[in-house]
Amino acid sequence: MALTIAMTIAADVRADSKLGDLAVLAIVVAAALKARIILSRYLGLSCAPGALTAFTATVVVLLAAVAFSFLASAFLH
Amino acid sequence: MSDADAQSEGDGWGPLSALPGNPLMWVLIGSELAVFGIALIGYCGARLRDPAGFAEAQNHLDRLAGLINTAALLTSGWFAALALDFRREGRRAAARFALAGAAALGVAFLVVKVGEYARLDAAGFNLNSGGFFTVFYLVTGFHALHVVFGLVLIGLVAIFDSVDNFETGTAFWHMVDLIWVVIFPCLVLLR
Repeated sequence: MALTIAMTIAADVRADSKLGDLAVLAIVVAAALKARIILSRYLGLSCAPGALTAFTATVVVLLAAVAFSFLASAFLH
Repeated sequence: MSDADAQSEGDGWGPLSALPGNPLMWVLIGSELAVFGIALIGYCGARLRDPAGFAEAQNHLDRLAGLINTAALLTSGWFAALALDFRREGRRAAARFALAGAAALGVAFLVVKVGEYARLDAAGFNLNSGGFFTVFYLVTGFHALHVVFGLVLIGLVAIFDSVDNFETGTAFWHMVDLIWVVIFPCLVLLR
């Protein structure tokens, strides 16, 4: 829940302006941490470290691709 | 089936045998992550072509409602985890009560989501309102369908309340949670 609050602050939800690079990174990192907590604690992968790493890596790569596309769009346009 | 037989059957799943709960649930979790992952990659590609159009479309979303939904789903996941703990301890009534809490928050999530769709539709933004809204409705709608299916599953688990069923049902619910924490920031918060 603390990560959701952090995400809310970073996303500046009441504003329509474009987010800065740091805010984009903060949101992506918070999402990755939340995903890791769900995988490890709720889905019980803490007892299967290899699978936890594989699932976490998948989520991180996905979020990194999304963040990259947001940051890259600033250079492309 | 003896314990030895059950162990032997579990070993037949190869690397999936090491994972907690039903191995087939992990196959499902992996494939769902792949489906939503591909959808998000497609979203990124489409957004790179028209970042201004996508950003403008995103400004019509209610981000606060999305964050409320995130809190609802995360708390729901906590209730589901609590339900599984109770069931493993043999406290069946407490487990069902916690499961009901998880389901109630799942319903709250859907109510907020339907309200958001209705508000957007009334404002003239539907599935055909450009690239962003097509992806938004398809991805979040598909996720909402998973929430509906998860609620049905929770209902079934509450009736047929073996530990194994609890593990499988709550794992599905956590998967729904996991997908939301990935798609929500990508589609709604990042702009």
